[in-house]
Amino acid sequence: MHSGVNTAKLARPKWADAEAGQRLEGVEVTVDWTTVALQVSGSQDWNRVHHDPEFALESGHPSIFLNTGWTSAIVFRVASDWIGVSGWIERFELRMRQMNSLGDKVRSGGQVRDKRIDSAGRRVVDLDLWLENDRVGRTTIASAVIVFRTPAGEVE
Amino acid sequence: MTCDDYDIEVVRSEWIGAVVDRSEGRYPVEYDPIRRYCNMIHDENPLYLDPEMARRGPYAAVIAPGPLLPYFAGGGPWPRKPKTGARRPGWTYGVPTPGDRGINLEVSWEYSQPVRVGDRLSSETRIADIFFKPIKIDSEAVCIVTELRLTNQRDEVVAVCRNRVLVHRSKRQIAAAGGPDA
Repeated sequence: MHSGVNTAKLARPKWADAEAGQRLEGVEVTVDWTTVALQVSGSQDWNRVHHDPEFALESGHPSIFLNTGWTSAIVFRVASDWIGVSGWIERFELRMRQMNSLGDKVRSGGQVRDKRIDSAGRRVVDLDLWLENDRVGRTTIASAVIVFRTPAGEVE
Repeated sequence: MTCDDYDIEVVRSEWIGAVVDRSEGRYPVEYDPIRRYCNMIHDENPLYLDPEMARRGPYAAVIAPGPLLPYFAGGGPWPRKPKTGARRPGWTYGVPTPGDRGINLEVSWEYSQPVRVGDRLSSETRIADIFFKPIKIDSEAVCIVTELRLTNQRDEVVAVCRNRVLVHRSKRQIAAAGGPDA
């Protein structure tokens, strides 16, 4: 049975090819009510501040805003899309500074910050990741540490 | 609680280090919540979605994306499940705060090993820090830092997550307190 999944999307980058400053592909989403509904479905976060405009206003926010689950997921995806089957995301940090709200056009992105051999002798790449929208600019700053697999296929 | 009654040093001494929640996943790690998570962000990664492809991949099975792991270590939002060791439900975990509205600020994850479909996850949450963090809409907002440790059915730590949530007052609570933010 065909799963319907696009298997061509699995990346296989090589540590040797990674370069500081190299850009990572992100995605663009215009936040509409379907995005909001998918956010609740996918995260199972039913806090009303993320889907009830009146509750958000009463809480002191200008609008509903997308939750941590959605934000983490879409930023994490930049790293997981890039590394594919070549390594393991060992660390992932996310700082949410501004909100992504209804009507915003949101873009994820990233770049290679550093390529190194860590203290344990492992081949590692450090990534800078982010989320920005057309209303306020960069809303979320994130980072990830990727450990590459050995030629035998193991994460060192 | 009014802000005049609120002594953050007392709160810190009583709560930092406290285990505020222990939880076991209601169900094993399953395909469909992973599919819904991927649908949320239109992520078509076969490692998360395609059992056949994942079986031939580096983990030999579909794995759960890192940010989704806590979902599988709890009972989910409904129906409510009694929690072992929880002092009070909710995202403040019962830590006293002047307000009752929250925003997540920062999350940091350390992933030790893959979590596969069929694994059983459990979690333990401790309060790591509590401090005032004034924000534009409330000068007496409080930041609560928690540390969540996730383990699998072999009691192996699969991930550790530190989370900072900001708890602030609503407009009505600030007005009722009559403070400078009102």
